[in-house]
Amino acid sequence: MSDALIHDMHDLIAEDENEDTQADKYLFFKIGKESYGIGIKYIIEIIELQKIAEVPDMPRYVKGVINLRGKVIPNIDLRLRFGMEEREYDDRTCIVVTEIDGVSIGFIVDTVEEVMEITQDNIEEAPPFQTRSGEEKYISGMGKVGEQVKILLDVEKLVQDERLKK
Amino acid sequence: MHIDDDTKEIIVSFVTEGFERLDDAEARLGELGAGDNEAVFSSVFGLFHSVKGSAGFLNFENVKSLTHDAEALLEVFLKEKVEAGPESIDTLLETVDLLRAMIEEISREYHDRRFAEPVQRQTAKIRDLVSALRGSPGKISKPPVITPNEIITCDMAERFLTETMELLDQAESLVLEMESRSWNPEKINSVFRAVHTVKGNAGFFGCADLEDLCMDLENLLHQARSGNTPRGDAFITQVLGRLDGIRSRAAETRVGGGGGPGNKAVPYRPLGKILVDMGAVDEAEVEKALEQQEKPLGELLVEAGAAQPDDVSRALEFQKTMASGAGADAEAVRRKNVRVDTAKLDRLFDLVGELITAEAMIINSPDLAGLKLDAFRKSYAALNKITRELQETAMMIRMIPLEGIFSKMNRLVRDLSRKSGKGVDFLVSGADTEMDKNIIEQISDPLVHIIRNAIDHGLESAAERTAAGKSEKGRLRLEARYEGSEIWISLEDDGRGLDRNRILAKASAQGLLQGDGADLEDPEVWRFIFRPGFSTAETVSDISGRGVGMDVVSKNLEKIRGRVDIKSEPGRGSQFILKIPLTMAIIEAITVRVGDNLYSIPQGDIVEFFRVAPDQIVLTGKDEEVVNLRGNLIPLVRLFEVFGLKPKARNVEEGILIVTASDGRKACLMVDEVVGSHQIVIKSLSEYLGEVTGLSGCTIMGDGSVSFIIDTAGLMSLRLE
Repeated sequence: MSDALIHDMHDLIAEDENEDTQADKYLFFKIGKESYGIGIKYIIEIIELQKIAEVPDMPRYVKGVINLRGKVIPNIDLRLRFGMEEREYDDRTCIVVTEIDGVSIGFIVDTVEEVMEITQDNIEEAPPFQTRSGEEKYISGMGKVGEQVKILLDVEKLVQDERLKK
Repeated sequence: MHIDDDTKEIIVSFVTEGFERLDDAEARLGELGAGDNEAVFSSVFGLFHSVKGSAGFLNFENVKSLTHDAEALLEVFLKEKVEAGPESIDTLLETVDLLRAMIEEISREYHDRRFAEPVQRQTAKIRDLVSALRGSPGKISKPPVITPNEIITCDMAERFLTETMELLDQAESLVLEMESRSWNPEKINSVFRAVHTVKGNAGFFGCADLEDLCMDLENLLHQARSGNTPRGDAFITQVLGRLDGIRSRAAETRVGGGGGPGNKAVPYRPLGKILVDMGAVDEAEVEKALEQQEKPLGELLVEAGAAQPDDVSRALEFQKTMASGAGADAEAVRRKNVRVDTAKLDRLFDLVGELITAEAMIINSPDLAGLKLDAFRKSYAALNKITRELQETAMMIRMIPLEGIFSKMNRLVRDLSRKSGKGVDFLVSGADTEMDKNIIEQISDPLVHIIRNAIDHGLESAAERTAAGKSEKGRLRLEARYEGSEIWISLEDDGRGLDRNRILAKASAQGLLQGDGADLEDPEVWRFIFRPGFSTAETVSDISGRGVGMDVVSKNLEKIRGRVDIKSEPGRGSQFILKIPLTMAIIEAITVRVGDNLYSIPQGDIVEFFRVAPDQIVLTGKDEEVVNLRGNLIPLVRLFEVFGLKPKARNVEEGILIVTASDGRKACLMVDEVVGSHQIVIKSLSEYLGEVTGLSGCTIMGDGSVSFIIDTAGLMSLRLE
């Protein structure tokens, strides 16, 4: 992904410092063919892939830590988190840095797409289906944008893992 | 019940102060018997009294009534010179505990209503005690009056001053708000309350003139409140003027060295009074002028023709010399403490760490390689000097004296000694030694366990001691001191000492020992007591013996990169020395590379490093490799295996071996290469990752890459057991 695009994304995110207007905005990114959204209020920034230092003894999807301006941030590969097949990182791979309850965590995604507004009345509960990969656990709802339906993720569930609780 | 934010804020500061005062009180009570009991009682009285004052203001009735009765008990000791027995001291300590519990509740619930019953019980107990004490023959039971000078300590005076200044600032900003917006009865009430509190405190501290000034202002406010005074700009100016007067008067409160009784504040005299005393003006004229005061009083009096300009300037001169003369022989108490949220301190500290990292990134930038940069280097050196100093200062801010934790130990020793029936002389020194506040939190538990052990297992019963020709009371010495870049906290007892044979027997029974252990050095034997579940006590007592405890000591110390040394002599006693680094934020470390990852090993853990020859490797029966280093056999640990990495060097002779030692054990860690030796700023791994075995944190290198810090002890127990 080009620098220019990342800057555009930042502008989109930064535009809405106001929490009220942030509430209905989502950042969408791709993993495989599917597009997923995370609430803008969780997102600190989007960065290009960096050198990741591997941490031993972690679930497979915890890729390791990066240094973001002196802050050490763990990274979750969302592909692996959803139990999908691993794929070589390329120049479109991005890290979406989020903050949840004061803890910064990066999500590695195939590529980021856009920021979009989806109002509450256009969000429906996720249908009770089960995918092979088990990603349905992390879905907070389905957002309708015109004819399209987009998957919205529950970030808090994404970072919860009984295996990491010690 | 709804509580507004302002009240909440007041309650929060009440809680913080309350805790501080109770801690002080407990510490002071711990000093009883060691010297001047009366001084102790009077300062505890003062502390209770301050808590009572603020509790009364905030309507915490239970706190108020309990402190009130506790004061009555202290008065018995202070005024009637009744000796305080252990029972009385227990009651006082219980009272402190109960007060603390209430303040804890207040910090959560903003009220103390649920404590009515325990408080009633405690007050009843105190009253019984008071009447029992008063009942002793030859004592007069007249309600005593305490004069403030007897009980004011320097510390209290300082607190009084800080508080007063805060209140005055508060009042002033309220008044100013009224000026810019409009008349607001609620604000006037707040100002009134602030002034009233200052007045109350002033009364307690015997500053009669300050009290008078406050009273004046109260009257003025009261009149305004009831609508008898115009509330315009003139009124605001008048109030501000009075506030200034109170402030400058309060700032002049002086306390002599030692803080004992007899430090009389130099009375402030309003200009009007001086002029009246000089006979230069009529008192009524002064009153009249004061009522419409918008300018300095002197000017007004001259304008009104009531006084001669000469007299006024002479009076002003006199007022000035009075103030400055008082300054010569006593040091002014100044506002020198600032309360800061610890989160802010931690943030500051993090930022300094980041600054150091960023600085290293600049100087190591590949863009600079090979350039001749004389001026740049010079500027960099200057910058570097500043950052180092900034780092030291930031570190110092977080240093607090061990006093607090030591006085808690005092209390503990007292309780344990009574519980176990063993008399203990507890000597403390070095309480003023300062340590990082985060570290202090970590050593509290270890100290508790070591003291429990010393009293329960170390010290003998009085009978045994006498038989052994020792004093009947056991001696316990707690000491802290700086030792190089470490702080040593030692606890020494003169008890029976550790029993080598019993420890060895137990170790062998638990399967921790092969052979009879006769060849082990003492320190190696003493190590066993830090094993989880290890206890040689024959009976489990109320105090200790369950074998938990000593492993807490070593665990907690590991966390802060400290260690424990034990010295012990049979029959003569034991000494536990906690050796703790001054700071746990920055360490010297050797950084190595394994595969693509960097690892930093604390320099203190490293014995040496070397390249190994193939014939130095020996295979043990269990298929484990050991390295023969000058006749010592040391287990080999390939780091790439431990951390699951792809290494550059797979064969031992291609890599570098680093000999590490921790907890008396050694290991050879195999790495690809040694990168260098650095001062590193320790960062914790993300909260999200939790604790990672074998790693104690991470750091950021000069080039921005992350290096993991190896927890040598943890790594060795991971691989060698």
